[in-house]
Amino acid sequence: MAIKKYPVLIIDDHPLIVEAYKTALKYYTAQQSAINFTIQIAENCDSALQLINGYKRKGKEPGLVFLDMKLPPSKDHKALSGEDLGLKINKLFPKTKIIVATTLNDNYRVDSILRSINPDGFLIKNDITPKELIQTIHTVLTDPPYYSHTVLKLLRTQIENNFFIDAIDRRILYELSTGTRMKELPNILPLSIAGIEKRKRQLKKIFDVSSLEDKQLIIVAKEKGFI
Amino acid sequence: MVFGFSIYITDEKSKKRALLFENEQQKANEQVYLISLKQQEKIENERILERNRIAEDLHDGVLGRLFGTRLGLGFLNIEGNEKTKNDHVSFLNELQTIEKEIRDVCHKLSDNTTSSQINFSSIIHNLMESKSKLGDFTFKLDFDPAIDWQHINQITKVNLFRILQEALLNILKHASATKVTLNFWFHNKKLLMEIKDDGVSFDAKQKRKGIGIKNMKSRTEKLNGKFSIVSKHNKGTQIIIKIPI
Repeated sequence: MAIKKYPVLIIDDHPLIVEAYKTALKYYTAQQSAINFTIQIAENCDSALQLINGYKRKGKEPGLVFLDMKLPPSKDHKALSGEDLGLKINKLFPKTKIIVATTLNDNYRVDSILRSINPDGFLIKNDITPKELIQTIHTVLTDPPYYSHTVLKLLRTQIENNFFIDAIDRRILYELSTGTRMKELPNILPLSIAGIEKRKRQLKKIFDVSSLEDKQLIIVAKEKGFI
Repeated sequence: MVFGFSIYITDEKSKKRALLFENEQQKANEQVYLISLKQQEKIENERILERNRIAEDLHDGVLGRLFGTRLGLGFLNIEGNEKTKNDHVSFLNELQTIEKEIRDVCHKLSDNTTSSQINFSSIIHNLMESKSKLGDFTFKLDFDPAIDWQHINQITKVNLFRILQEALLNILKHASATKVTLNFWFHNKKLLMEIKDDGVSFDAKQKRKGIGIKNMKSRTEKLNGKFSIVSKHNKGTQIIIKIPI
């Protein structure tokens, strides 16, 4: 049987985690003798971009990418995080399978990564065990997607609360939850204070919040998995 | 006759001096209040920054390394009897629980919604709370969310605060109220403050107005605002301040 070569790119700035991925890949190869992984590692956005561009130059593509979200940004500040890298990989190598693994777990960020990168595997790091990691590799290579528990829970609450809430609404909720002041919001969003107030009133209606304070709105939005 | 006239003059002079002094005193008080308000805001902002920094360190550094360590340990082929293997598993589970706990702590630390609201409204709330205990009345406080307190200038806020203090003093001294309502809202580009109590009324039209009411009125007028007070028998007192913004 022909052995399938699989170039793997691990992008993570924690050496211990890189080691764990390598071990998991080794275990997986031991189970599936038909696969052979060649592994390359990047610890920041710059070295990741270098490797990605290297593939492109040679007319090749990575088969599988492990992608952390929080990474040291590139020196030219064009890639600020793993999310930027993920978008670039999607664009250059549409067939490449991406496993996003992150410690981030606020619903807003998880949701925005699902929408922007749409990864084949999505792991919240603290959800998973070694066994699950091997399972993830298997599922992503054979029949994606694989989402870890926290991601699934988020998707479930969103289906349960099928409100009409668009990207700007979400952003308003997110900014309010991180303590951004109302007067700063017009600098971040394409809306005036009055426009934001209007949306806030609408959101309070949707979430059935009678309190005039934003705090209650944030609490409910959090419960429902929107932030 | 000349003598009497000179007494009259010195009397007027000393009155003027006293007034001037009072004015200076009031200005100084306001300045102290302004400084302390700014200081409070600064300290609060620093605290939020520090909390966020700790949360970030914990989240990105400690949590990531803990996860890496747990996975590394998990992949280790532990040799030994059944008990050793079981212990290995339960230690791994324990590590995962610790990770979850740290994650929760991070979320609490970076939740800025409550702490960032140290500002005018919280100061007002504190004032109402302390006075309500003193006067043994309950209070209701309502802020129109359309008011952006950050945008309203400090002088206005200081004066509103002082007027409220004065009004509460009157309530404490004379009204023996059981309930005090305080509302702030926005209407026609005007900021409105209403203080209502259900205590003993007084005749608002009596000739000799107390210095307290005079003060409230002059403070409102300084802000080009309108001051009104209604006090009806058995219906308590209502004060409304209207200030153009």
